[in-house]
Amino acid sequence: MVERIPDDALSTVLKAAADPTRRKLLTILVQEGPLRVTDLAGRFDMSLNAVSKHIRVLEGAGLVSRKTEWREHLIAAEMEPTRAIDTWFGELRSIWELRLERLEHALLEEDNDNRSHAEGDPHDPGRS
Amino acid sequence: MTTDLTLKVTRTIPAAPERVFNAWLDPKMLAKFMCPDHGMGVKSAETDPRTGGAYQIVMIGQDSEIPHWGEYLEITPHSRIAFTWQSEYSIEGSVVTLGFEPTSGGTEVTLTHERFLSEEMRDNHEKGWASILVKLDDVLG
Repeated sequence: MVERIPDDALSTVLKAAADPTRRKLLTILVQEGPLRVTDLAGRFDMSLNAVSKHIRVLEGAGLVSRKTEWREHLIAAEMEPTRAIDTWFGELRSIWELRLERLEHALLEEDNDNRSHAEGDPHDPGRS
Repeated sequence: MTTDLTLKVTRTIPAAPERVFNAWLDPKMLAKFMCPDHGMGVKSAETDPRTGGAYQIVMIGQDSEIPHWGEYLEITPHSRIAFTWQSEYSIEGSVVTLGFEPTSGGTEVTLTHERFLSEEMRDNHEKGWASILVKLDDVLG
């Protein structure tokens, strides 16, 4: 197998996810777990063949996999490739935005520390 | 000739304006949030929180130290802080302004980062963005 450069992988994932039918397919699979192609096709107002084509595009992007369980061929969602999208958006987000997010966490941590110190205080009137 | 390039970010933080304001002037807190990248950290932070006072924050990357420094232009308790922002990578100066507005959910922080770029740098920036937009078009088109 040829290892693709990350940018190519990201483009493939974005292209696959750019279509509303394919996003709906993914949503159904994430919410309901692995399903048969015929079950999936039943949810759409299009031919089994058309739905199969969409599934193949998702499969090509690594967003779904096929597995066999009790002789049933099932389609399952694979979330791993979406990490590339997360990473990409993360890079696009401003570093200042990340700093503000961190600041919020730091302040909340301080709150928690103060609270746990108070609980552990032997002079706490509630405990003595 | 210079051109301004402004970036604006807002976030509501569930804490009183006084605490959020103080965090920006407290070296211990700065060390906790100024370096959000994975694999990076803050080596040291020093502040002299008064108008005209200086600050320095040294961030550490994989194997290099990246000092950031500047001067406080304005410190208005619990509502506004403005400081210059420089690092060895910033070719020209920039100013960061922070506004703290009390809201029902805590404090709305508005951060504005203004860079004063030369015409040439701005053009390069625009070229950079243009190529990103073309790539996006390729990807989504």
